[in-house]
Amino acid sequence: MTTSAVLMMIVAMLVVWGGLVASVLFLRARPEVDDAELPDPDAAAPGGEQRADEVSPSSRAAPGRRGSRRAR
Amino acid sequence: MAPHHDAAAPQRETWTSSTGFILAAVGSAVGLGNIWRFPGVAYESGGGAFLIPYLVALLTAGIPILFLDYAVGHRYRGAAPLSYRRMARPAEALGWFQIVLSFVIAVYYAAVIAWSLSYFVFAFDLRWGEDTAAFFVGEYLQVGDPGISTTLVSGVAVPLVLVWAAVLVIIALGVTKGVQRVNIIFIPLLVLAFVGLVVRALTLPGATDGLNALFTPDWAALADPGVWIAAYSQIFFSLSIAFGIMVTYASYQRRRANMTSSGLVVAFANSSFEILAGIGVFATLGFLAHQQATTIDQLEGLSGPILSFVTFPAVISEMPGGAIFGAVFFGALVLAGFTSIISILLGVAASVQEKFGLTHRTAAVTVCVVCSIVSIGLFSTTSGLIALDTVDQWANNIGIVVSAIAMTVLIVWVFRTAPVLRAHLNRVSTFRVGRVWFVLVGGLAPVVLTTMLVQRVRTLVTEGYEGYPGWYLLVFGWGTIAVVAVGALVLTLIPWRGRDDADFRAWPELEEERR
Repeated sequence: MTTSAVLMMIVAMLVVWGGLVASVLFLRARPEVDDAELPDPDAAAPGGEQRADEVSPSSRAAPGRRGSRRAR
Repeated sequence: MAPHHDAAAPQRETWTSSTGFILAAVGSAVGLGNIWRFPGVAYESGGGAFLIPYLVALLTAGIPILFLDYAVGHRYRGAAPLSYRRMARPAEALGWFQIVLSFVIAVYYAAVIAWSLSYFVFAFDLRWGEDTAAFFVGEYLQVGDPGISTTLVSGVAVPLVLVWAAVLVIIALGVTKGVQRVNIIFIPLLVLAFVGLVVRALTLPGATDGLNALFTPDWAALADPGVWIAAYSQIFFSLSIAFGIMVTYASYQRRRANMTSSGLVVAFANSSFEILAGIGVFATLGFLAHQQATTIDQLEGLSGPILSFVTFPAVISEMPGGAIFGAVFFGALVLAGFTSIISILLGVAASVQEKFGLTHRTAAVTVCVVCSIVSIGLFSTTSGLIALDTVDQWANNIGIVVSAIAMTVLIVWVFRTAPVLRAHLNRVSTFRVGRVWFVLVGGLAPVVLTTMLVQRVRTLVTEGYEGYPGWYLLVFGWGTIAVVAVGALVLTLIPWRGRDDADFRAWPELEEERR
């Protein structure tokens, strides 16, 4: 391979694959916004305010739970 | 307050984790275009130098529009029509335009997956023989003249029915049990398969000549505006943005979820796969040139379906252990295509479900059955290839581009909801979107997209397409766009029987929304 081709191939790999690694690391370092800043509405205790079209993320634990018991 | 129609509008499912969402979004973005479009475009548009416009396009248009899609779906929590309606009532029509377009794209995309499935089987005994072009067009597809044919090609019909059956099952199973599960298995498998292909290709004689052809920079190309347009087009079509898919996927994400940081991972993963595919495809083409004692620039069929179904079979036949390479290559095409088509159809099914108040399963089955009937009717006959080529040209280059222009202009300039969407992204995400986003989404994107559109329309009007007859282009090309526009209008005007939710309140509450 020519020098310029090798160089561009390495640059492409570094920038694009490096970008992937960097964005994964960034996401892992700061996976969520702070609870203090923005409490998770879906993590609220059962009976908490929840919209009908929403489902709690804890649906993992309670898959059949409906959002119909809207508090308002 | 009136009780909610829960029977008609069952609970909204969510991805069980950010990883599930990211893998599904990557599965949607990584499709056939990454494998057969990117390498050829890069090669023809300055080789290694193409990296510069490509990265500029990714950062200034791809990622910003991806964020826009995410913001709409995540804040307004519906498939495209419902989300846009909640954002601003008349914008529902834009949602339906995107959804009808998705329907049209799914109709022919399934056919390409069916071809890949056939070729996966053919690879085991290299059934395509010596003349791969004659085999593909003649023996396999039995292509006739442009027109409407009723002569069934069973070799295409059977795999097409199989593809539709699989799509139906996955969509009917829903977001968590269907779509997420498929992507969690298929995406790692796809990457593994392609890494294997690349490693094999790099050990073939002539591979380095292929990489030379792909990566040697032609800096003069950067002065050509056409190369920049090519870069923006590639990024734009590759990321599956601006036609409702990402709106739908984002709407299934938990309310407090890190949207922008996930988006960066998705965008870079998509481009990473393109680079990998570029290396694999050009190393293989280098081997082909070596076998034929010629150079890459003398080869033909370096992109599109011809690359996959004519050029690659020819290389595979000449390769020691070609059967395995072929099976893995076409298997990878099936995986990449399948994870994309389910994202396209999930958006259609969810839109129908929300508007007409159906259960998820009823909507999924109805949409898939209707779509498959059209698909099998149009594409398992001898006129399949030409119809596909024409509809694809118009749906992508006119349909999606119009949709993207409308979306950016309506959000930023007409309904002026961009500040709300930016505030939303910044409240729920750890990667902050700056004010420059307004300029990119509201200024640069519409300008570049309009340039792309004008150029394409001019070419199609003055030069026609592929020498097909004018009446045919009018029916299958412009007709497709007309059908999508009329369909969008009709679907918007039909009254809501499902979850209209006049009392919907977006979360979190934002200062920007009260203004």
